[in-house]
Amino acid sequence: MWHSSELWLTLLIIHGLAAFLLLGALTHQTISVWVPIHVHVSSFFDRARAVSARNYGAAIIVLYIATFLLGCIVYPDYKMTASNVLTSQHWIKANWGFEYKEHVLAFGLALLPAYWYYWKPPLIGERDFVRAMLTTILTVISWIGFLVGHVLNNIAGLGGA
Amino acid sequence: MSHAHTITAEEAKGRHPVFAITFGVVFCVFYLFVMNYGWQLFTYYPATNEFVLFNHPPGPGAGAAMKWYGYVATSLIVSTLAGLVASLLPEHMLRRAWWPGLIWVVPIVTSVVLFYMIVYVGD
Repeated sequence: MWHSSELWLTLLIIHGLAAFLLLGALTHQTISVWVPIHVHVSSFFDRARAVSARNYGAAIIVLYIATFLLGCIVYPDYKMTASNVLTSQHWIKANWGFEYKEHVLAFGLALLPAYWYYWKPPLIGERDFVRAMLTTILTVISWIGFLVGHVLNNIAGLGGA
Repeated sequence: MSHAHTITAEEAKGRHPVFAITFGVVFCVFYLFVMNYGWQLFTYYPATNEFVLFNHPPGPGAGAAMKWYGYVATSLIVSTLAGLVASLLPEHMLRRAWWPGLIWVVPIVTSVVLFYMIVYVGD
C-alpha cells in the first residue's frame, strides 16, 4: 500500500488543486463580504469585490470537505516519508507548522455547519458581522493550510525528503 | 456588536443555528483538551496499518503513531452531543448563556492557544 509513490503523488496533486480552488472561492467571498460593491465595475479589485458571494457557500463547503478528506488520505504517506525526514534532519519549525495546519484545519471543519447556516438564504442583515467573521476565519485557516503544505512540499523538493 | 445584544427570538428558536454554533464552539475548545491529555478515540500506526483503541500499546514494529484522526473523531462525537443537547434546551435557558458571536471569538482564541501549545508545550 505504501510503495506506489505515483498514487500518493497523484492524490497529493489533486489535494493541492482542490485547496487552490477552495482558496479562490473563499478569498473572493471574503473580499466581497467586507467591501461589497453593487454598481458597474471596471478595475481588477472592484471586479473581485463584485462577485456574488452568496453563490459560493455550497461550493466552499464541498471543496473544504473534499480537500480535508484528500488530506486525510495522503497524511499516512506524509507521516511515513516526509515527516520522518523532517524530524531526523531537525526541521523543527517545519514540523510545528504541519502540526498547526492539521489542528487548525480540524477547527475549520467544525465551523462548516455554522458557516452554512449564516450563508443560507435569505441573508439577514443583523447576521452580517458574524457571517463576515466566519468567512474570514475559514479563509485564514485555508491559507495557513495551503501555505504550510506548499512550504513543506518545497522543502522536500530541496532535498529535505 | 456587544454581548448585551440578546439573541433574537428566531435565533433562539432555530435548532439548526443553536446546534451549529454549539458544535463549532465545543469542538474548538474540547479539541485542545483531547490533544493535551491524549483522549483520542483511536490511534493509527501506518507502518503496520494497525488501529488501536485510545492510547493502548500497539503490536511489535508499529512505528510512528498517528493520533490526529482520533483527536478529530473524539472531538466530533463530543461536540455533536453538546450541539444536540443545546438545541433541545428551552429558549429562556439559551438566552442566559448562549451568544452567536462565540462562533468567531472561540476559534480565534483557541487557535492562539493551539499555537502556544504546539510551540511551548509540545504534542
